[in-house]
Amino acid sequence: MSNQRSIPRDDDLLLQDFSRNVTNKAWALFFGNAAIVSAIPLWLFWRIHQMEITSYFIHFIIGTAISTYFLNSAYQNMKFILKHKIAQKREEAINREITKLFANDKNANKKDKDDRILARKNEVADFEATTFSIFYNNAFYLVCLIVLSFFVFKNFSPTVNYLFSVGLSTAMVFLFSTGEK
Amino acid sequence: MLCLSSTIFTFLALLAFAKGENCESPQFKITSYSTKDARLTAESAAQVEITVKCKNGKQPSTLYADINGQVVPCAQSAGSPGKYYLGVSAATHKQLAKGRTSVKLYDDDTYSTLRKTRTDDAAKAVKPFGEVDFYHPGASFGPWLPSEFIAVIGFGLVWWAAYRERSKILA
Repeated sequence: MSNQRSIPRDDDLLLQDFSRNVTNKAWALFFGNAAIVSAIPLWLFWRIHQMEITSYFIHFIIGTAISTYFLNSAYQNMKFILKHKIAQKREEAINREITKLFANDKNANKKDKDDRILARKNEVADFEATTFSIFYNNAFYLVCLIVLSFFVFKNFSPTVNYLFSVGLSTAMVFLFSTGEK
Repeated sequence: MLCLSSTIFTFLALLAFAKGENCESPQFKITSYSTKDARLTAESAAQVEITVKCKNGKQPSTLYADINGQVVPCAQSAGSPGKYYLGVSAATHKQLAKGRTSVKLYDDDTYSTLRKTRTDDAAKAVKPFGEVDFYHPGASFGPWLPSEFIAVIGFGLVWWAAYRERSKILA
């Protein structure tokens, strides 16, 4: 009974590898980053577009909350897409690293070595995909926001400017995060 | 005899009274504001506030300022004794000289002495009531490129580098 219920370690790693779910740590990292990046434009709109916080705090709260949610989703989407590609690209280097590590260990068998390679590949791909997803989505979000806010919606009222700039930037980042090209 | 001494006494009293009316050992404090933005304005102007503090507590009834060769009376405010205001305007930004401009000040006595002179040399020889400097930093047209343009270029370059890297990964 207990054998049927316990999942072998390599299957566990494979499930984790192909799963869209993120760990709690990754989720906290994504959420924190999304919240900070969503809050950055508030300073721009407050100081440059002269939107007083006391008068527009409801707009700001709604805009920041929606932006945080969709940015978080964009990070996760892009991470999932990038992770497999990164794993393929790093496979050779990781094989070399683990082979060198196991070269002097005569007791190690092939299964242990493969498990180790898989775990290491998963770890490296996970980390690189997470950080690159955050970096790319942030850069794209901020470019879209500056273009929309200071060029496209420049002559609109501050409220319209804020809602449309943040909304459209968030929408574009979320939309393009699912693309594979 | 009594008549002569009372006349002399009255004259001396008047002299003392007249001397007491004038401001003694004046000290000046300047606050000025001048046009700084040349992009949104066509003309330059400056407003100078001169605070005069006299040792004997008396203030000149009128203060005159010699600015760029023109002597003009300074405005005063009923609510702020001891403060005199001078306005300067120029048709173009270049006409209001950048840097320190010296302004000679005259009270009633020195101004009447100045008005009595007939030649420029004599006018220059008249000792003014005081002399102050006001500083005009100059009117600026601002940066050549707007800051949002530079921000877009900067962030755009960062995004472009990230996009190329992403394309290499997904290839």
